[in-house]
Amino acid sequence: MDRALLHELRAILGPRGLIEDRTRRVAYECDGLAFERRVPELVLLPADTAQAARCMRALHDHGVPVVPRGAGTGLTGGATPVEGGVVIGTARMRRVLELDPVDRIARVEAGLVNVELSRAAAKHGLFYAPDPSSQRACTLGGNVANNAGGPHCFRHGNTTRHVVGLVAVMHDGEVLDLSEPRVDPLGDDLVGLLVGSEGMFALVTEITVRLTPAPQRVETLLAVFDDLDAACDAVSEMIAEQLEPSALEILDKLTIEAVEASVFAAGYPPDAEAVLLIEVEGSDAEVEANSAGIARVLERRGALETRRATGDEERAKLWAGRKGAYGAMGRVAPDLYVTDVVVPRTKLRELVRRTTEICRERGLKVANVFHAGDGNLHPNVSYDRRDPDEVARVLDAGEKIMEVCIEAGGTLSGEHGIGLEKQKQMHLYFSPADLDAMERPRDVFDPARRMNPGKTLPIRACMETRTRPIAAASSDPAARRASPDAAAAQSTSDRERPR
Amino acid sequence: MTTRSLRDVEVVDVLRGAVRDGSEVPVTAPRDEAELVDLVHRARRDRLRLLPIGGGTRVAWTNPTDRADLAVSTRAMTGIVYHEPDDGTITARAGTTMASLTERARAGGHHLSPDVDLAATSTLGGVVGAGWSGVDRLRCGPLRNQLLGTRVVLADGSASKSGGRLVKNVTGFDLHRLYCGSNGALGVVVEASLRLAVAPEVVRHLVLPLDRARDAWELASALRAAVAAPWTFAIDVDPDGSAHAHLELAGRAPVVQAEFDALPRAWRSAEVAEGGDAARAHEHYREGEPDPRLGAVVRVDARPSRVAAAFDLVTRAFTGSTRPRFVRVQPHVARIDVRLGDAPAGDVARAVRELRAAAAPVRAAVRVGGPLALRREVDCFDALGPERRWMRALRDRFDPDGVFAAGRGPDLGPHVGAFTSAGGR
Repeated sequence: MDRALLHELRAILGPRGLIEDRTRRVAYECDGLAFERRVPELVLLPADTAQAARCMRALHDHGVPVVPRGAGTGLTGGATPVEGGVVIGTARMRRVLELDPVDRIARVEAGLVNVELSRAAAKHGLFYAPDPSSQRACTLGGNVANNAGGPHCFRHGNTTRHVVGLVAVMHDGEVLDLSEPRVDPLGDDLVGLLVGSEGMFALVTEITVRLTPAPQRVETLLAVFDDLDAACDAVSEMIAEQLEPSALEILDKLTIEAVEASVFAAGYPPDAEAVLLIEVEGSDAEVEANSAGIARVLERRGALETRRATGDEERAKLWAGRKGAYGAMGRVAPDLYVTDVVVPRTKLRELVRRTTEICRERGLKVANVFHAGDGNLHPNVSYDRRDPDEVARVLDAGEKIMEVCIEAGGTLSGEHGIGLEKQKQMHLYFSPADLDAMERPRDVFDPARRMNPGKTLPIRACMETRTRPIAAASSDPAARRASPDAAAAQSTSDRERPR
Repeated sequence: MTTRSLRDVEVVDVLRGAVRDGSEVPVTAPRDEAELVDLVHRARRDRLRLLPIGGGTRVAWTNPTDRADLAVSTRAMTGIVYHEPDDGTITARAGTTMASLTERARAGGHHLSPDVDLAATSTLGGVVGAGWSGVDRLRCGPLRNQLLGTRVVLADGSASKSGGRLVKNVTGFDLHRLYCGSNGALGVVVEASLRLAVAPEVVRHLVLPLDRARDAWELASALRAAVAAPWTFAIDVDPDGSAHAHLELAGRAPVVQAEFDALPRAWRSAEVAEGGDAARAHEHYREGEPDPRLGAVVRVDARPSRVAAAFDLVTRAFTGSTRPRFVRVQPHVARIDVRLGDAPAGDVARAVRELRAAAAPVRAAVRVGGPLALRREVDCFDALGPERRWMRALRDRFDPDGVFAAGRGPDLGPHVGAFTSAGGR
């Protein structure tokens, strides 16, 4: 790292805001995609937007790549460091700057943990709807980068529907203040464009979100099935019948076993092939009307039993099991590969079955826990990263799952984003012209390709879509500097591989 | 059209009020994407400026452009591409009217949002280009919440998609959010996908006379506490100051009944329409949305907590020759629409400038629509802040040759003729 830059960053951030020691930087070597690792050159932890802007300007002046990072709970390598680059974390930016119960909005710093916002809003009878499974750790800034979802997004929609303003630090350090919520955007919808841009357009430091009134009543149901297909069919039928639960989640047998053997044990019946966790919210009349319709579908689809949570404690326990499912899978194998694909909701049964077959054909253990109401599948493959052969089979299964879902009219990601994991598959879903169009805002917001380079958009050369650029084959450092994307992509091949 | 390359273009109409000097613009309506792409290539080659429109129903909400050689309407590119009722989504070509989409959605048991006025002539592509939300936004949210994806023809003649047809999808950057509301300056929408909403089983339309418009704020506050999600709620104010509150409750029958029972006492004297009467009342209410083709309109958006303050500013700004003919306030959406009819353009423009200055402290946005004479006098949009140079850079990157007529949206400064990064220093 350039000495002058280091000196400048020390002056801006002070000792608390700059991590230089390698042993501490190692903690930032990857996010939830453990395949890809690289220790960053430096970790910057600005305390506020002003500090972040000064850092970004200094990094711009020295041509240093930047990887924004929230809590590092992302699952696609979006926060994986890049060669010669720094990580800018938002861990010190955790304040609620404004909470207006009349206008039902909150303005927060990007490092605020998701669940903390709902806690702050609860005293006003409000909550923040997007609730990823990692909501006790993930940050609002990370949610914005990935347009995160969660179980209750079935009713309330992903992050983008709730973000009404942003403050972003642009690649050169300019602070772009779009924090005032508007009925309609003034001019182009830059806020809408920045949400889901995976840290490639700007560093988001503050977020204005819409808060939702807490429902008068919430009811949580657990339907037990002796057949995963039947659980899927029940969900498809509820969608077709226009029932309006707020969440529809399926957990299969392996997941149930893992959860019940863990600290997240929720009382799911261990002999069930699948459970369907359903939440209904609204007024008393709304809950009654929806619950009655749901009960009819469950009966038709052969649910063995339907339990109704009797109080907040039981309800919380049922959800703790669902949200702790990924953690619980640690009992099955040391590592977990969480895939994220979306399929038409009319094809749930066939694609859950097919994705499971794909894993089993490769001798892999797969568990399904997913947002069935949105058609958002999460086949979770257990593996051991120390076994290179198993890792190869996991990656192969992941690619095949994406292919079959896209062939069936699905898409690559419903809430995790693309990052490094799915970059290569982007051409399955998008044409070269589609991808060219996506480079255009990037040309505007990041002309030097320093913002989270080498992620999301596949790097193309010689009329071919590829993840490794031609420049990566060059040993000439100048050639690599000429294209940070290329350098970042080369660095992928240099990264630590599974041990 | 003097250019030889466009001599064979079929002109189907003329567009008035879109160009600053008042000239009429010939309208062509390509029948498919290939024809549109060909047109864009020819315009680019011959340095002609195209003005993308749908049905032309929202043109009077935008600034006149300095020059347009040919208006390109997508109205002939019609048809449903994909409709899966059991998945709750619909995809259609840009020229499909909102009325026909609504019918198709209804046949599949769904409600199509946005529920826009002028639905018989408004097209899907035009509504997306204008970023136009419907009267149902209080329940269903703005258009951008329903928009799942788009296919657009860009200024270089390439066609590309963003998003898709699924209700949940974060694959790639959300360019469709950028195209939505860009008034065709970044590309021509040729296809769009929408998420469908659950069709209400029952609709109940209530009209409550108010002695004074000011009573509206208390009414609105009490309603917000009592009913979680009305379908519509607005206060219509007549020139004599008398007012009516409109409220629609919609959903499953027992839910609507429960909401009706929970209404604050003031609503007991409301006139209540149900069934076919409610549907007619809804049509009447929707067609009461302001149409700037019929006269000057001013739209003020603010935070909900500042709507009352904004209403006071509106009352002070428009007096005498600009006395409002009709005002619609949607307190929960936080929007005020003021119809000024045929008030003199100069007087309206002056009042708008004063209103903008007064509204700045409450951060209210003021938008103007109306006849060309008015739109020549005053900007239809508020002045933007530093974000405008990023928007300018996006325009220059998407359309470096200025193929699409510029200047219909907020003032972004001059087109520089070639792309330069906004961040370049």
